[in-house]
Amino acid sequence: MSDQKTFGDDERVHRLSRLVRGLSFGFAAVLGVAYLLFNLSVVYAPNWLKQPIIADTLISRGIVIGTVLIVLAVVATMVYVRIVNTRIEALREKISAENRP
Amino acid sequence: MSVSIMGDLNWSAILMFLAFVGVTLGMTYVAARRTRTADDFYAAGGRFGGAANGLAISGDFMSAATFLGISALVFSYGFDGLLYSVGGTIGWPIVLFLIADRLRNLGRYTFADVAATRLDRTTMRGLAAAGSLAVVIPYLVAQMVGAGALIEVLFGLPYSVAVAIVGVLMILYVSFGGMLATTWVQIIKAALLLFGGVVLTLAVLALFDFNFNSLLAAAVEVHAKGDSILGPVGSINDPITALSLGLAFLFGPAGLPHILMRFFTVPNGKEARRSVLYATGIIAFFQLLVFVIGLGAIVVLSQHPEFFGANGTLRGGANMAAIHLSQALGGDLFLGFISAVAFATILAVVAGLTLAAASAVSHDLYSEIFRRGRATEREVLRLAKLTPIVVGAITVVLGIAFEGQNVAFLGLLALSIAASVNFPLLVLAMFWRGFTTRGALWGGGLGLATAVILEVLSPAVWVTVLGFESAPYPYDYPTLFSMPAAFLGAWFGSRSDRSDRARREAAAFDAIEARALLGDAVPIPVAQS
Repeated sequence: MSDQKTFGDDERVHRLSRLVRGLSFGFAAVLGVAYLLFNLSVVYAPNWLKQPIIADTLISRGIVIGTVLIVLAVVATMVYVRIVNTRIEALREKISAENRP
Repeated sequence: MSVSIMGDLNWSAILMFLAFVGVTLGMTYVAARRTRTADDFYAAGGRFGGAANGLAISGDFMSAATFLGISALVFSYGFDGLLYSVGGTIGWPIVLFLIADRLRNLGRYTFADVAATRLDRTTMRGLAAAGSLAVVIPYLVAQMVGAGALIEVLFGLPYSVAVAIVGVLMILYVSFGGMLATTWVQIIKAALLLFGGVVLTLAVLALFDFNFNSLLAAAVEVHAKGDSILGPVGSINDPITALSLGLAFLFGPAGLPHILMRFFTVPNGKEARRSVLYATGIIAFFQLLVFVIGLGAIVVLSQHPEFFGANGTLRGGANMAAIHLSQALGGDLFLGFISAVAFATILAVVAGLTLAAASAVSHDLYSEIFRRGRATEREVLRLAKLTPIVVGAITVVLGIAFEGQNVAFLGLLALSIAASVNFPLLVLAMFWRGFTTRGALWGGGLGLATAVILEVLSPAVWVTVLGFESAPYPYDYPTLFSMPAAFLGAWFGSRSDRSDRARREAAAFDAIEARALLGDAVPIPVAQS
């Protein structure tokens, strides 16, 4: 593979790699921790989750937090795809164009 | 002939289901004519766009367990059912962040391709095929047993006939139509399921003038547990279960072979990301619908004593809540439609699983290990088309053998193994330069062994299936221990590996990373072996 351009020599690919990894693990960590904390709150704070969150309704903290997590999952994917498709993709296209045989 | 819970053969359901079968078999015929190469069979030639693939992914994941199972949990426990809706959604962003575009760029037909590029081919193919089958077979058997029981009550067909029909149809779809037909079936089913879910939800909300609080108030009023259904009622009440279930939901989807192979049906990394975007949106939306449907069932079914048996439980079991609700709100015709959708759902899910099993056997085991990549296209294709028949036959036999058994643990086991074996192997192979073949062997082996042993020692198997007094491992899920065991084994095995092979494997990482990031602009690195 010596005649093949690998990214060992290309500082921009290193940068791309660091960017994508930071983004991937950062997003995964935030969402994962939020979700696991919610699961733990079910064990440790069931009565807190049961209380209504909106005055004069039965809509509880638990129902709202659960729904928010479901919506957050969708929003997180939208934001992530947007960031990757704009910023990351531009850098990727540039490097790819030069790498094309 | 036995009769359905509705008293006799459910003709509107049978006719609508026959229409579904007719249309999908027609599609299979068209797909079969277009399936000429291994690339067509395993990956539909990489021709699907992100939206279609996203719909198909959501179809693969939204099984009868999601629709009937979670609405049943909401019907029985209220808020606790919502926990499973959140769990079923939360794993999808993880697939996007860590897996989707990298996997697309690095593999061809199965996720084993990724691990086998840099690490020892035979070892990695074997491990990945074992991991795939360990997930797919229990999952298939669980679906089959659920399908048999459900069809028995819905359509009035005998259990073994129902299992056999499902088996034959899934073999036809997969064997003849490959990935193309399986994806089409999946897309139609997802659209039907969404349509049914939306209509059911609107019908429920309309009863309460689209006021969610009125729905909650009515549910609290008639539910035996009263207002405690607004919060946790104790179905998850210890931290180990909460975290194990959480890890299985978070990282399980990223290790499901039938989901992972969908990423090879799109032409590039960008479409792979779009696939997950669509899939997450659809799945999240559906999970919210299911919560409303479950609450609606609490209120509406309480006004219909005819749906309850003499002992006060729901006829056909709690899983029938959404089905009874459809009859109460929309009469026999809507009942027929929802029943047909439930059957179609099962059929599509088992077809996806069968294709994944067939790919693991024909591509990973036969073509890559047994023939060392030297099999001709024709040979591979012939075996790929034969394997679904074998997988299907085994599944039908197991499905009939397990009739009436409590197989809920099989579904949990599948998701736990996916999170404890396939996910660690895949993520380490793609992200960690220092990962070696020995690390993969130790990590994959330890993860699999821990997951299986703890599951056997858990109440679901040790007490419910094997009939012992009390379970040595008193929790339902193994993931909190089996997943870290896999990562620790992989870390220790890799770090202590000072062989020349380990050095070559690390050196090959740059090329892998470049391909993962840049996609088709750089070639897939030549496999080491």
